[in-house]
Amino acid sequence: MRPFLALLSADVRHFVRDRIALFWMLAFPILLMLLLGFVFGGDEEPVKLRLGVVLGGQGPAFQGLLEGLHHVPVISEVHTGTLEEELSALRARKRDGVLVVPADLPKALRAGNEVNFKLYYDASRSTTYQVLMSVIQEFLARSEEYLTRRERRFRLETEPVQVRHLRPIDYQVPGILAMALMQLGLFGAGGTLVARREGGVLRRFWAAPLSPGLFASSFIAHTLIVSLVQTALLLATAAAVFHVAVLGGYALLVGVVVLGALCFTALGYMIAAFARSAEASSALLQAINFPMMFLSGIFWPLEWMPGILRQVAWIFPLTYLGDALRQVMAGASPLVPLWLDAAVLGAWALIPALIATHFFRWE
Amino acid sequence: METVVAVRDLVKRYGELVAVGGISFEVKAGEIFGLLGPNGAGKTTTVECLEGLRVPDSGEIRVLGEIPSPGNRRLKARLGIQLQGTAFLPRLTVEETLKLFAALYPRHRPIDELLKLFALGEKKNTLVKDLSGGQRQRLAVALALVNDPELLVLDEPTTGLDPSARRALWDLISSLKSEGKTVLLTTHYMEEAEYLCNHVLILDRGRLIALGSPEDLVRKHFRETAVDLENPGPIAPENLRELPGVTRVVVAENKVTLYTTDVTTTVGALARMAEEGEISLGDLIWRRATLEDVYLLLTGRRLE
Repeated sequence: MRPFLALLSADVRHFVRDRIALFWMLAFPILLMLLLGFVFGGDEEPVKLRLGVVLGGQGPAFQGLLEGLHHVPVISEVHTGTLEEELSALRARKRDGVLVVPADLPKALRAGNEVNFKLYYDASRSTTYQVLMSVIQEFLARSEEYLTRRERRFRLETEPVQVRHLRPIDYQVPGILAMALMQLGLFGAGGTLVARREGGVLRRFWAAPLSPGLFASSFIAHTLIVSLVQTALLLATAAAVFHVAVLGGYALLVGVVVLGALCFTALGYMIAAFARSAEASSALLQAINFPMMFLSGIFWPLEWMPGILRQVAWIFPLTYLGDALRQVMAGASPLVPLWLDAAVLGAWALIPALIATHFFRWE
Repeated sequence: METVVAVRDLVKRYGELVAVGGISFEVKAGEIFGLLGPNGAGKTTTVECLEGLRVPDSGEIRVLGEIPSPGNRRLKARLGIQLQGTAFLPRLTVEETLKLFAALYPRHRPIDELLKLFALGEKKNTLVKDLSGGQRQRLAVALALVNDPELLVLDEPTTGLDPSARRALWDLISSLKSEGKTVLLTTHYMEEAEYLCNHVLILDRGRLIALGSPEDLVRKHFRETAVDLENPGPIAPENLRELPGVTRVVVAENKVTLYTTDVTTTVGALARMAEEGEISLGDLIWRRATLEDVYLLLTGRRLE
């Protein structure tokens, strides 16, 4: 036990004094999360429409209509002006749409004729104009009802059925945590092992009466400690800045984090066992890191990717770690059941660990 | 005297290359034994086989009564090992490094004593990466002592040290002998072997070319005195061999060494040649023969 604790405390101290590793391993994932959170917006803003109105004339009918538009909750701004002014404002993206009220409005109302409104919109912003069109449609229908005193018989009641509303950040925080755990395992454990072998540090340990198992397990313990500290820092930041909570309970979370860290530490060790040099290992580690990072549904859902890439994602352990963390943290709908995530991660931990043990070299 | 290390017909190959080609020797308790030879002679391979870090292709080795192997941790616990070009965790301090290794062994010497012995007390809170080459080398040797070993195996312990640091380490290694420790060291400094070692084994390209105490080796190969001439000018070695008393002439680069049974006559003859302008005697030294001369004689090459 004494050699184990001595190695563990040496490794922790050695890591804490490495500012570059601290940045890339601990700070960088948090910064990435903050960046993504701010770019994609922590909370989805309710839609606000800025509407330009071109009035064909003056009088109570026009004023009444304008007044009515001011009372539509979705419309935050109502500007009036000439057609040229408002269209150039639309092109400058200062308006979401321009509504043209025809000059013959009062006359047509009195005569009971058709009134032709015209709506200009920015076709490049599909979600906005779809909302805009239905809002204006609804507004005109209501106005017509009011003016003609005809009542609608059909009424539509809407109710959301999604149990929990997932914001992008709720999806991304578990993903970034999964990525951070992967990189701690691959680079923090695997990369460090190769660097120590290359530098001749391992040889000196080998000359001491130290079993490879004890040596490896103390470093795995170190990696687990760093992984849990990383998890705590990342989640505390996510909770403070984006109000991201852990819905599934902390015990389950710690279990998934430990399993994920073990899985990627084993992978890192396997690469370390095979790589002939530091350069070779860093190339191999990156060759694992990048495809997994972008194809495992860490930053965006798997459904967004073309079919063939989605098939590839099912091989990667990161897909399952991300899925498990999203289930435990955000209560997201699972890709596969949690027990299957755990089983796949366990297999990805065990097989590389056996290979790494078999091919381990001290120098 | 008890035998601490016994090696018989040790052979180690790396692919085609024969690193060690069948050597045998014994190290007795309480002595300092030197493996001597140039880089690539097979010294490091030999000691790494003794430490159990390498497995020999054939031959028998006993160290402290044990057969060394990568898994023989009982033996490793009794050995004090300093590896050539070894490295430590760069962001641990000197004291932390000593404490870490102390914890890896069943017993250890007091850390403060080691810090004092190796003059590292002032540097105990310095990170290993900030040490000078000499300080790092002293730490490496201090670590070899951390487990209070029965046998120290030091691989080029003074390489990279300046002359005064080298002297200091020589004194330290000598003092280990008076503590009753057995030391096996490798070196490519003849002077170091001559100063420290009770017995030396001279290796050349994996072969044993001489074995014995430094005095015996010199006495066995030379009754002559050596005369070194540096930059003697264009002179044919045959002419020098004709000089009275001269038994051998060795030319290596700019240096000519004559071995003579009658130094006065030989130097007199050289002086006459110099008067005739046949030779330049700017740098002439005569001295008794050393291990270096033995090496030169046996291999035809200078060591450094």
